[in-house]
Amino acid sequence: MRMSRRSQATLIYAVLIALAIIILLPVWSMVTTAFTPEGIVFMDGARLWPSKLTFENFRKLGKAFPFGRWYVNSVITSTLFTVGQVISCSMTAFALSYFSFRGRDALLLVVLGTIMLPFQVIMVPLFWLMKTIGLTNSLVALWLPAFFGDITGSFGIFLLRQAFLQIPKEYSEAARLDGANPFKVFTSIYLPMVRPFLSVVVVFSFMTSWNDFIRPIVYITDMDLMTVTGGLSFFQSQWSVSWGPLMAGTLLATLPTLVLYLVAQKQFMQMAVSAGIKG
Amino acid sequence: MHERQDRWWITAFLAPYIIGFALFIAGPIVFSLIMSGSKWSLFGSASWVGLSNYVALLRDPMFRRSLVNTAYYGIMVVPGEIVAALFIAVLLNRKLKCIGLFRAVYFTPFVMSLASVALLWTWFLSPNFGLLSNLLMSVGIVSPGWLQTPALAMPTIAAASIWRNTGYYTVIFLAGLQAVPTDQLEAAQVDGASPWRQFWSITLPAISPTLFFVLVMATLWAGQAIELPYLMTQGGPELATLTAVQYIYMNAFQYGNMGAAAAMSWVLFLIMIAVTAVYFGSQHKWVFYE
Repeated sequence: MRMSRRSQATLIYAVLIALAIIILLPVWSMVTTAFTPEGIVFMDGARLWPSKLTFENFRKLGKAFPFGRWYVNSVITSTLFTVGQVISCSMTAFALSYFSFRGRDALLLVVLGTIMLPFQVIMVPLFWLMKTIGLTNSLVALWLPAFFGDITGSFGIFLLRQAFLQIPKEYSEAARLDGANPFKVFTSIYLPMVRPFLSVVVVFSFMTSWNDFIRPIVYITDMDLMTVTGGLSFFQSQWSVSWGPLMAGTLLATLPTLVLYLVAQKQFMQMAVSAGIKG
Repeated sequence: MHERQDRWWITAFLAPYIIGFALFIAGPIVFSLIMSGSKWSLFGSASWVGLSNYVALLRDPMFRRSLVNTAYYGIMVVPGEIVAALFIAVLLNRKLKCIGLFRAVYFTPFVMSLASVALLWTWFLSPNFGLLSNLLMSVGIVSPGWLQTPALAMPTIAAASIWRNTGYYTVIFLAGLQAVPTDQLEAAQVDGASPWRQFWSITLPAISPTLFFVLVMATLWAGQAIELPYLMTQGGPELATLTAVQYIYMNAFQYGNMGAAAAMSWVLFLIMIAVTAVYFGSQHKWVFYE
């Protein structure tokens, strides 16, 4: 028996809506709890619709944790990480696409190989290194490697290299004949032409850095120097703080990437798609 | 004509990556190998012990447990994510109103950090107070302690992980589905092939490279799981959710067994490489590159 086109569409919508509810329900619960008075949460637990709204939880969050400080730390870290990764990835990608030299393909393989390398293999030595050069308990440990590519940089390098390869050689050759050096070719021809891809790298880097959990908890022990995401590790051990303030904190922690996703949805999708193309 | 100067420029452009690779990747890899052969706490002095860290691992029931747990987690998460993402991608791969909106909604959890996901799921599942428990209660079901029951804890964490990552893989599959030859699908439809049959003999082979990529990615990620169990259950109850990376982290930064932690990370890495190698070895049987 075949379904009519109409009833088939209805069925598909029903499934899609059911899936959307499954996806959104836990998120919705976080949002409503963040704005529900503690007393009500304590009595009734989480409800689909809050009976009363309050901002009290956010004030309590600020009292229990240096959340404002964490936020500033995260903004600084993620911004510098993103700047560093855009610079280092585009430079490396430029070298791997504009020039031809011996060992270029081998180097590209090395770059791609680092995708396979799990962070925990280098976690302990990296901690020791950062400790030795005095960068533990410092935000520098979190963003400095980004200026040198970082283990997460292979995505950006690969994406930008593919983009650079699409640029016709004639552009750069004409510029070189006019006396432009490779740096000029890089900044005034190559970078402007791959702007859409640069924005994908920006989105990827920001998200990577903002959402990073393991590095902050490895490198940083001083509570005031924590990032927002790393700071969430303190939430579990604070039994004195109730779920209202904790959900307020979790909401604030996810807000920047959620907002970025709202305004740059296309770049996020592109990020996922280009990760797939690599395969 | 520029060759001589170019060599200088190549060096300049590559310098940041090469320095970073030596300092933050290659150096630590070598150092990690050396560490795995030493007895070393963070503050004491190091002494060379050869393979004895590795031998000790064989006798460490906690490490074995953490590997088994990680494998168990992977066996749930990897097929779970692939099946869910593929199913949703096939649903979304048609011209209907609001498809873009649904895709955007499904992708949303991936934008959130694993740490945030861990916390909001812990609250969502909280016995007696969480929204899920309240909703189940309203239809007369008393929800179990999802994260408090040893047999349920790991499947629950796997569900949270599938919830977060499926949207990401859905987008990848959607891109892959564009490679499916529509003329073949139409011909099959005319011949009266069932949608199921069309999926198995046309769609699946066409997206097998994407499927392969997702399989490798999902496996590598599952092997590195730490955030969700670390924050949702702290490895409990009764060690039911202690993952390998979590145990490595505990050894390194809580027990101060740097050498043992390094050795464990290598064992885990080698296992992951072996699994990936098996995937690559099986590739010729089921992955069809055009």
